[in-house]
Amino acid sequence: MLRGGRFRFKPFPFFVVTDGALKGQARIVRTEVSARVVVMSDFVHPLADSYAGLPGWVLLVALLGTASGFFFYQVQKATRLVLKGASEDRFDSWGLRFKEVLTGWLGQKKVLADPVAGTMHVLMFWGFLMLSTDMFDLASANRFSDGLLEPLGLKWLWNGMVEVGYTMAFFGCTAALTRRVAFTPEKLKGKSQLEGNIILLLIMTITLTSYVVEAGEELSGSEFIGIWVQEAMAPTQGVVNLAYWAHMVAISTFLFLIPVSKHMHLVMALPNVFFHDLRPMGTMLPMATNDDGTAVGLDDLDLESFGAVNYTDLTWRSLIDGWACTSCARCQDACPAYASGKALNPMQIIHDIRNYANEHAPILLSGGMPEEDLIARIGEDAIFACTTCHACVEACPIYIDHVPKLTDARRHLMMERMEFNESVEEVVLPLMSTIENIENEGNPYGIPAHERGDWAEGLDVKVAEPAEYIYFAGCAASFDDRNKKVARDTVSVMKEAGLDVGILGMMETCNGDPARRAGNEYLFQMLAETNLATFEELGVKKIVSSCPHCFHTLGKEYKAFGGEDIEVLHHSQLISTLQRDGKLPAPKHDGEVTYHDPCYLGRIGGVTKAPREIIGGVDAEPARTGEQSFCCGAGGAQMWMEEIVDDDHERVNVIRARELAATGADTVAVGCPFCSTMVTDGLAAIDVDMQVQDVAEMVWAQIKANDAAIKAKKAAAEAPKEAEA
Amino acid sequence: MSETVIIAETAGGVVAPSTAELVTAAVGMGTNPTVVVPCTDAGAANAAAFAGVARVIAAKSDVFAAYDAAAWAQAIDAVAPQGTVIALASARSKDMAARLAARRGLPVVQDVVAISGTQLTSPILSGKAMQTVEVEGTSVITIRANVFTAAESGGGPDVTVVDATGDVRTAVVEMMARASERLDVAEANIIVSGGRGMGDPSNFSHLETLADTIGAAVGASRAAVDTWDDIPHSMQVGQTGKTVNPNLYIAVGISGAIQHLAGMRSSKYIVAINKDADAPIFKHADYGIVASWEEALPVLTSTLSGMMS
Amino acid sequence: MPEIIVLVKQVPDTNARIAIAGDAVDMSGVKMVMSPYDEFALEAALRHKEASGGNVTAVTMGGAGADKVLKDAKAIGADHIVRLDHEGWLDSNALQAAIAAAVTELGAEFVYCGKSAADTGAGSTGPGVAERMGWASVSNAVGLEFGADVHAICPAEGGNARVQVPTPAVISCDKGDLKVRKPNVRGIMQAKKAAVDVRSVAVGASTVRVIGCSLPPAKPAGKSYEGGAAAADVARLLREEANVL
Repeated sequence: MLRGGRFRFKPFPFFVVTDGALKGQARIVRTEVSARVVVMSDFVHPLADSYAGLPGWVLLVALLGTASGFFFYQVQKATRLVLKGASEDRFDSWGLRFKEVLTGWLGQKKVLADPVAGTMHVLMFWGFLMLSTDMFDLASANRFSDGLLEPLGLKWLWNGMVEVGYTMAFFGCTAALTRRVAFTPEKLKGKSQLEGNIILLLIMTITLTSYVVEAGEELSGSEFIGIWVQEAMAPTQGVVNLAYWAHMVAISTFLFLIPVSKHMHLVMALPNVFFHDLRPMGTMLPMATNDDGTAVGLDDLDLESFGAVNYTDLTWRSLIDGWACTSCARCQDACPAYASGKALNPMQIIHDIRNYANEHAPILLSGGMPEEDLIARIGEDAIFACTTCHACVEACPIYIDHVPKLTDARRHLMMERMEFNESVEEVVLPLMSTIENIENEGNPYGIPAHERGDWAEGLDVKVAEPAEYIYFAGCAASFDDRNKKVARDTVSVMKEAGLDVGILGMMETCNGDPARRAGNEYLFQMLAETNLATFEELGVKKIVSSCPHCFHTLGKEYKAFGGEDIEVLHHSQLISTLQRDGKLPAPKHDGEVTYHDPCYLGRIGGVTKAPREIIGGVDAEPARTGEQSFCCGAGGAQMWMEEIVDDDHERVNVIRARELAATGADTVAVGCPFCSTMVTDGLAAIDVDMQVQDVAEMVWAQIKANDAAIKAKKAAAEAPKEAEA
Repeated sequence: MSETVIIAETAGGVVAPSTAELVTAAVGMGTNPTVVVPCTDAGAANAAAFAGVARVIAAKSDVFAAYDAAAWAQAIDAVAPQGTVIALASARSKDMAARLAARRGLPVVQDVVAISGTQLTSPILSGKAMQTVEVEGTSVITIRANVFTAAESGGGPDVTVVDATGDVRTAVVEMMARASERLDVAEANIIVSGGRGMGDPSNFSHLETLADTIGAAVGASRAAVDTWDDIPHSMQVGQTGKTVNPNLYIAVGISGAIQHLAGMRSSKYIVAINKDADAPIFKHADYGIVASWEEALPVLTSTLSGMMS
Repeated sequence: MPEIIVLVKQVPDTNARIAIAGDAVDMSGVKMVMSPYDEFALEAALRHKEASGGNVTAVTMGGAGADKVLKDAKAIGADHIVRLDHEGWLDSNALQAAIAAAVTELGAEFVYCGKSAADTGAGSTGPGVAERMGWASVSNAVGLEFGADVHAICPAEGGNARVQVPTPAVISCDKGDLKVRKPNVRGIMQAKKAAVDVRSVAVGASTVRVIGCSLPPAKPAGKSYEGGAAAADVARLLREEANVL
């Protein structure tokens, strides 16, 4: 009864005519092409066929029922595990959240940051979105398209969309498989690719079989490949049946694999994007917040535990990360700790969370607490290796927040446990004395607090009195001889532009960033409350800082502590405005200059143009730059920890110094005192002779050179007159 | 002025030379003091007969074989006449003086560096200020070494021997000899540190020679520790290494970046040797020598070696 | 289970800039902290308690401003905190008499204190209080061992001596190999709410009184030399001017 080979490929337009008997048996009677009628034989839908006496639909119900049962069981289990997380309000700003879903999830904005792998993914992702409804059709023996879509006049269009979807997915998975097998990326080498490859082969099976299944159906004309398969291969009913069941088995296998593999991201990516953190990148949360999101003051704080030590201490949104991760390893590629051989791999942290949850699921779901805590799983050495540079967060295509998991763990270790694994003692002990220094002297160096304003001696600047602009020097510029010059030059530039400038002098204290990133939130809040009281006392409204850590903390993080209406500018932003307004000479520089983006200014702060503009542009960009810049190694309180690397790796600052040296420039412009120190040391370690200059120093040097040139010109003009006289 | 009584400082059963300084202080207060010598062998007291001393009492007792604060105070109290008591401001004598004063119901004034009639001046706040007190009646005072010139030895009176006794409360279980190996930087009073400017880790041997000459520990900057595997982290002075505050810190080939300064800037005196005249370390140095270590270090070592011998 | 008392004192931060106002040190704007050696005493007291049970009571003397040092001690682990309510100068005689009376009243087998307070630097209180109570004392302990007996490691001629300490005794502590624990934030927050046991004390007359303060002569400005030969001059100055060799 099955005969094939009757189809002929004909150019558009052509029509398919059925006999109207649609009870599970799509009988193709004839295909009319350009008014010519091709008489078709009878093809029975594979679902309507029977197999060893079993009707096809019974098989399908058994197959899909088992697979989707397993799938939904796993998804609900994962959901219950996620909901064990601490509460967090992520149901605000729906508009913004939908917008991000459109661009970030549907639009694949961050996936496409890697154009090659991103395009492959987009093909598969959009392809799957387009083809997904074909499942209804396949499982209902075409009732979906014939019964529902055809009366609406959508069948032709829909079939075409599905066809395009299969085709995109086919090209996507073929390219991805080729990349994995023939052009294995460095990060995948030496790792098992079984799971990834199986999934890609399944996708390939799903797409290829779909064409054959189509070939056994009446076509609506928009299935360009299906038509070609009918024409060129003329599959028999047996082949079509085989393809159909191969298709269904592949989908069922896929359903089994999704919830137990990285492909759970198919389910969890959407909520992960929707509920992502809308606050500015790198903004940490207070220990406890009031209903309006502001921090509970230290005097009213009443807490029993601090930070995250247990699985349930992480918020539910933070836990979704574990299931949303696609293992693309972009975070790993971007991570300075990983690059320098530390125990930290940001991707592993996310895997740890999911693995931990799965391994301890019975206890967790019954409300108990496993003996092994989450800190033990992640490892203290990983926790203390993070520079909080947020390169991982920036790189992640599905909005995973790696950093708070580590900083929350630090909070527990620093504020509650206060005991450290032997493996991190050498790293952390200096941090403890740094914290003590901040407690006692308000700066990490332990230099007497009363020396804080000494850097400005001899400068004509207001000290601890109201001024329109307060230059917040920060600890490095207050105490480090190298960076005192940056502070002096910055104030000189501001005064040159005629601004009303003041400094806080002895009234200033550390903004608290080192304490906060180290995990001592209590000390951070103390410092924040102290500084904010000073700002209030002096009526401070505009702050200028040459330190991106001050810039970020004062400008973004103090908002939760009462500093909502204080405007904080990085000195490069202010100078840029002043130059544009003509209050400072046009920017330029001498020699060949490259620029190193500080993490907390560029990627986290979003300021990448101003520092380049104010020095008249740069001549050579390092390989990683702007938002993709590579950390100097100092952030996340690493400046105050001992950095230990093995013989096979280089320190973070040395890795970065090599990238900067490779530009061939003679000067590295920086906009951060800590980057300045780290890059200087890194260049010294590789014996490269490059100048390291803060952008404000370069601006001030140009202004002075200008003045000197004008003076010389004047003198030259007056000299002949004098001679005449 | 009431009578003054000096409790002689002893070391190894012998009257220490610093006792002569106490005599000068007592004479300056307008009295000829009595010197009490705590001893196990009365012969030791002969050495306390300095010029200007009115009386020497050998307080002979077994309790003076090893230090026990309660027993010493009790035995000395039994022997020493009433009056203003003067002792050296050594760790042991300050302790004994405090107990003796309490035993006699007297106030004690420690670490005196200047005496003017009944006014005594001592450093307070780790030497950041000087405090002068007025003493009414008698008291016990301890005097810092090397402040008063030493009285001439000899020419003093004969020694009276008095047997003393006291109840020893504590028992020495064992003596623990000080480790003879080189000091750790965290404990040393003098530190010689090298940086990347030393050029090669083998050159640290020159720092060790200097350190051995003056009883110093050897430290290193982070740059040196990072660069050379031979320089262990335990030597690192600075922000992420050890924080030190010795009396003397000699920095050789160290530029003095903030990370290093943070660990040693509270040193009482800083000597810097660096060939780069612009090195920030010079801003913090009490004695800065702009020269290569190859030039300066041998001169410093040989001169100090000559002075120490 | 011994009752253990630790004497703690609030002093100006050792890093603070010291200025003179009139006849006294200007304490305005100076941060007050627990005297550093007292931190070792507190650590020793806590370890003693951990080894043999009992209670640690931190005692200080001062006005209400001194509560901070007690709360610090509480945060670190002291069980009780007691302030002897008296502000103002006392000579060693009056001070020790008041403390000895308080220790007797509170009852204790061991009293720990720092080897000296960072402000006076005198180190008289520990041995003085011991003498008044007729107790044994060991001073400048750099190590402690709590077994059947308490052993203290103290400097002695030619090295350190391990000394068996009888009960009762006063032990004054130097910076040793004890790693001082730091309070965790929960401890700090609980300590903030802790009540201070304020006790009035009868103080006797002082026969020593402060008549003035002055700043020591300033350290000479740094000297700079060119060339290695100058090292000989520097060597000489280290002995003659700096007096550090």
